[in-house]
Amino acid sequence: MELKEGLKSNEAQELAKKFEEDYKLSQLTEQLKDNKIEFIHQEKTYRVRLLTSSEKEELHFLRIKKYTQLLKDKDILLEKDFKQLLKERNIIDIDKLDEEIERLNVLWKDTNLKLGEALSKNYTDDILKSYESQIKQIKEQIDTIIIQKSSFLEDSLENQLLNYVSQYLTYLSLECKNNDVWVRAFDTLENFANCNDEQLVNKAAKYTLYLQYFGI
Amino acid sequence: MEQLIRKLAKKQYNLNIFSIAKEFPSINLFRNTIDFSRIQMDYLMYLYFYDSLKSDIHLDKVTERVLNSEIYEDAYYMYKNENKKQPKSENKKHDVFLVFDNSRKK
Repeated sequence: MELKEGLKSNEAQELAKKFEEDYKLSQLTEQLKDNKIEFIHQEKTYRVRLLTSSEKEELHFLRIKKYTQLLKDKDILLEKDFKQLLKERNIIDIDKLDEEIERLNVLWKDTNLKLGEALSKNYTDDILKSYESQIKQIKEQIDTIIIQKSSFLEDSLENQLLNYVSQYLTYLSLECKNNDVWVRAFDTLENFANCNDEQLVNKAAKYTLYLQYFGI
Repeated sequence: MEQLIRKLAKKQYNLNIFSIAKEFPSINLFRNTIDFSRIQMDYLMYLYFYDSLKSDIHLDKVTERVLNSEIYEDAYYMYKNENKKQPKSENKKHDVFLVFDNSRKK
């Protein structure tokens, strides 16, 4: 009886999981249709959209302005200077981390090619599983080192510029619906930056990054 | 997000639409026809990816097992592309050299 109940509960969980995935896929289908992602937050409807040409120009101009401003500040270090300082103070050698990432990337690619060959030559499942597990392990190692590296360089000038661009991009993209008319959710970047609703900001930033390619 | 995009692109219905859209330019996958967003580009890339994988399965170049895991899918695709990069004529020259080399040893 208990086993039967257990099975039923597993089936219910599987079904719930399937429904949730189907819902997410149908949401994604809607998001893909045009360049807009709508979402509801605290009973208000928001959306993020792709930037217009003039907004892209505005962002480009502000990026250059911010870059120049950051360069003038001698307390803010470029990534290369940060690396040098970290090495001199015996904290960490970022170049060695890069070398390790490079070595693991070569190994990752090589193992992928072996798995690809094994699949095309119809090798046994055991061989395929072994390569699959090696690839997972290598990928985890690469991710760990990348996270470690990013945490050391998060205050670099390049990273600060990237954060600024991302923030400005989100501010420009975010709109809310007022009486069936879409208007910019925040009047100024300052208002957006001072927004206490972290959930809204994070959600908007996440969706903005789904839509736009951006770099520094 | 990437996993969701992959799942959506892997669905046979979406692959059918993609195949038809390739043949008939009047059929659009999105409302916009220019200025594609990042998720749209990723989706298109995965449609192309799965279209190519399923075509290889159909041509018996690989079995359906390749679709059992995303790691299998990526690995096979990487292997396939790597093989495309290697010029076939070079291999032939190398083979001729080996035959010549062996005969000299005898």
